[in-house]
Amino acid sequence: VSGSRWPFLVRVYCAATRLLPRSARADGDEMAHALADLFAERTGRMTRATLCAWAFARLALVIGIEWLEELGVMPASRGLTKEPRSGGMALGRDLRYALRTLRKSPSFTITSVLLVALGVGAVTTIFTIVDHVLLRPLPYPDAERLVFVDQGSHSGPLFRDFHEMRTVDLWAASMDGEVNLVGQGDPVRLRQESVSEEFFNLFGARALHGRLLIASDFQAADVVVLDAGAWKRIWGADPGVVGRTLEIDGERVTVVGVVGDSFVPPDAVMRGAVDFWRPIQWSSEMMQNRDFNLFQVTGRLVPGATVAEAQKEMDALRARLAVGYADYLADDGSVTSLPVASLAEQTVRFVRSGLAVLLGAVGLLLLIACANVAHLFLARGLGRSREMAVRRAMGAASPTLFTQLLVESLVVGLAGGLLGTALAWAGIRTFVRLNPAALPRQSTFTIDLRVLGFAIGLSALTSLIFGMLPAWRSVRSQLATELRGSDRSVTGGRGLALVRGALVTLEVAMSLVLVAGAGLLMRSLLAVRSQDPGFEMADVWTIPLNVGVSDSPALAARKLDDILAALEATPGVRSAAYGMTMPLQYTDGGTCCWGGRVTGGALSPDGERVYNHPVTDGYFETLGIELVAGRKWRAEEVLDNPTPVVIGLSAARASYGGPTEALGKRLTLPGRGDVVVVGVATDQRYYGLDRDPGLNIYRPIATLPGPLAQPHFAVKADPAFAATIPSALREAVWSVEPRLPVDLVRSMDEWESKSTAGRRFDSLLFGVFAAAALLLAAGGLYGTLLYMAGQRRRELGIRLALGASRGAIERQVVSSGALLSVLGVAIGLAGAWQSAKYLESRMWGVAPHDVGTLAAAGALLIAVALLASWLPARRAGRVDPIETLRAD
Amino acid sequence: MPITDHLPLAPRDLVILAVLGEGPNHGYGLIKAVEERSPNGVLLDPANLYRVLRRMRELGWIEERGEEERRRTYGITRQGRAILNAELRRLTDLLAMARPATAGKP
Repeated sequence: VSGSRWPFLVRVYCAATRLLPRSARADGDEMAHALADLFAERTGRMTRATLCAWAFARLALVIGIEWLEELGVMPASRGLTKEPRSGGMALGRDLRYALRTLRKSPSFTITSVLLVALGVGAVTTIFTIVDHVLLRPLPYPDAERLVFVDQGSHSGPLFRDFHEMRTVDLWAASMDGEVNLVGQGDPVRLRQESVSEEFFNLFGARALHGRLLIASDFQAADVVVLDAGAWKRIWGADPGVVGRTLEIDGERVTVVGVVGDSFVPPDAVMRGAVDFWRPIQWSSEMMQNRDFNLFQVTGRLVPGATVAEAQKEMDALRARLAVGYADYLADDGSVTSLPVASLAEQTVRFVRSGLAVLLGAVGLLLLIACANVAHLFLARGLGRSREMAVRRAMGAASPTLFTQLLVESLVVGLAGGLLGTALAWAGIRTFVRLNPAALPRQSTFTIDLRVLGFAIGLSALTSLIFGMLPAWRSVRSQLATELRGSDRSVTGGRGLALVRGALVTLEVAMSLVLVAGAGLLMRSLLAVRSQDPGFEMADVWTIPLNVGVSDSPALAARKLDDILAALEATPGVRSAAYGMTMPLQYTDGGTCCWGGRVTGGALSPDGERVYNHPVTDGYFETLGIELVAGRKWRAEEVLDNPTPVVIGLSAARASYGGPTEALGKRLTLPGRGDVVVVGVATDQRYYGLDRDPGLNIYRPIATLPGPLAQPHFAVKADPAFAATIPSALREAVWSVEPRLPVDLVRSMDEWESKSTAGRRFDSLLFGVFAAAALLLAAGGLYGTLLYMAGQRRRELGIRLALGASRGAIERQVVSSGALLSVLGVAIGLAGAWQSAKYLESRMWGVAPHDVGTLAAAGALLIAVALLASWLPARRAGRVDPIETLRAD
Repeated sequence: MPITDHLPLAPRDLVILAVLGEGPNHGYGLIKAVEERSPNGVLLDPANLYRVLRRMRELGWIEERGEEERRRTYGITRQGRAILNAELRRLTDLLAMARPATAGKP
């Protein structure tokens, strides 16, 4: 096939032919070929566009018909002419007829297209994400054979030991880092990944310019491969950069190549974009030391080997190594295991349940939208039953009429599908922009043919199923009854009313599940946001820096003090401090700082980890942390032994019973010396507003054994200076160290917002789904009651004529609506009760079966249902008896 | 199935069969031939054309005749020709019957 030379639209057409049933699929290339020839012969944009629109529309119909025959829904025509209409030979005529009838009732057409579009758009958005994240193989050669060695990072010697394994034939190690680049405009801080020899080989990366890493690069490790993103961003995609020398962290390295932009770094191994790829410098002492666990390790199984076999071999290897190295043993003397997991599984394990919940929610929404489409088709089928009966009486075959009705629903479905795909396209962009919880593999989220096929298939299926029922009914009804006119029977269409009532009840029930879910998630968000963080967030700005490891610790420490002084001297700054980290910077599950168990004191009797926060004197003042007992350490005593420290209130309570009791207590921190408690501070929710503060110790920064390579500065600013403070702070840093990148000056509010973004996103998405579901259910109820009232016009007219009051009639209609909604709410509450467990992991501070939320959701639905019933009721009450009776 | 069971043919199917009756052709060739012959330039779309071709092939009226410039070509079979002739004869007879009525009218 000369496919590669075809224009884009023809290739799309060719791919779309894959949607044909197997029996017809072989013709796809030929069809595309013919279109390509037609395309080549036509010139001009418009003519080509028209040509393609025409060809695509016909293709969609043929696909629909072929599938109907394939599935036996529609009898396959054996000959060419016996049943020309149902055989699809006269498809054009059916299509024209369908378009004409649809054009005649624009409000029906537009409403049903929009409904299908809404459902398909929402499901396609979530499906695209699920498909890319969970279903597709990772974009690497032999992706199914790639494995990841879990349990944190591993040392250089251990990495080399891995090579003994027989079940794995290729190993790659990689190490995250951040470096400063100077000499390219403002100094910038960039992500660097140091990788082993086989890394690019394992992940199938290719060079766009120059070359990737070769064995000799690993001697001096003074080369760098640029990532395509950084190459475009910083060097404007200049191929001449290969061979140039850059200054990274004060080191001179040569650019040897640019890695191709089709290479996406594996999410499970490294989070986010990488700017530089460097060879691991194996000769350095750290890389040779078994105590330094530095590398993330990925491997490739030999063909035929399983993860379980690799695990077995890994356990054996680990047991062998533990003989000479006690750190591989756990406290109880057993060998600590290194779990081997498939890389694909590793990539999605944290998002799988969340995506499943979203898919479930959006599936409910689609069902509700479909139920409404069914309402519309039912109502329309009823209106046309007379037309159908007349046509049948005049000799039209039932299959012919059936096909026509099906073509109509297909047209509605496909138009809705196209619109829905457009909605999904916008939806995915919004989703990615809103979702900060860093879904893996999101760089590749696009609507491609696979997703397009899904959307079109879904809409075709939707419209067929929900169009078929009414179509069947129209065609199968008793000819005589329809011709006489069902209007005459006072109780006509009771069976249909039952179907519609059941649909509405289900809609109400499904909406309630979504509304209750949204309510629970919103309450969780509010609960989290109402937590007292334990420090003041207003007007606090943080500046993380990467000053690097210096040869002279004294010089490096002085530099940090100079920066601190410069920040304090900046106009608008009330106080400044720095520490190893600042609060709310480790909110996605990690923790910071020195951990360690405490001995020699009552602190943490259960062996819970205690976090050491080395901070400067201004820390408490800058963050507005109150001391509930005791005092801060004084400047002159920071180097005393024991070290004066401030501990958190939880730690004081847990260990000594209260803040004042803790004062003056001494404890030993292994490897960190003896300390004495001089003060107790309020607890800070350091790791996120929804996390336990844990046990914390604040100690003077001077007690750190060496200077900080990555200090985090914070200032408390005067609110009047809010607009200018970020740039002023940058200038202040640069006044001390002009070559230091200051790429992040972030307010504490932003950190807070970032830390709750996942919850905000959850509530927003569920809120949107729930609102859409509510609207659809109300619309369904409204339509059904209106339809029922219309059906009973005659009855109501007679009753009014006989003296029934309008109020009584209105009450009757409202109460039938209320009955349906109460039934729906009851079913929905049971559903919400059952489904709350799927949301439990995303909830916080709210019980999964929170009665208040469920009751509020039920009340909301009943209120909406009453409103939706009241409008048709008013209309029913206004029936003019004379008018109705005269119509006979 | 006797031949007459397939008659009458839809006009488009008749034209396709007639074009193939003159010699093997591929999809694009058929589209062009039909376009040239029809008075107002009817354009067949590939999806429907191949649907018809699939049907005719299943019925044994046409068969694949290899490739030409990487396009699959179809040719008419003996049975297809019989159908074509029967339909043409039917139409001729029909016209002959109708002619006296239309004679002399513009």
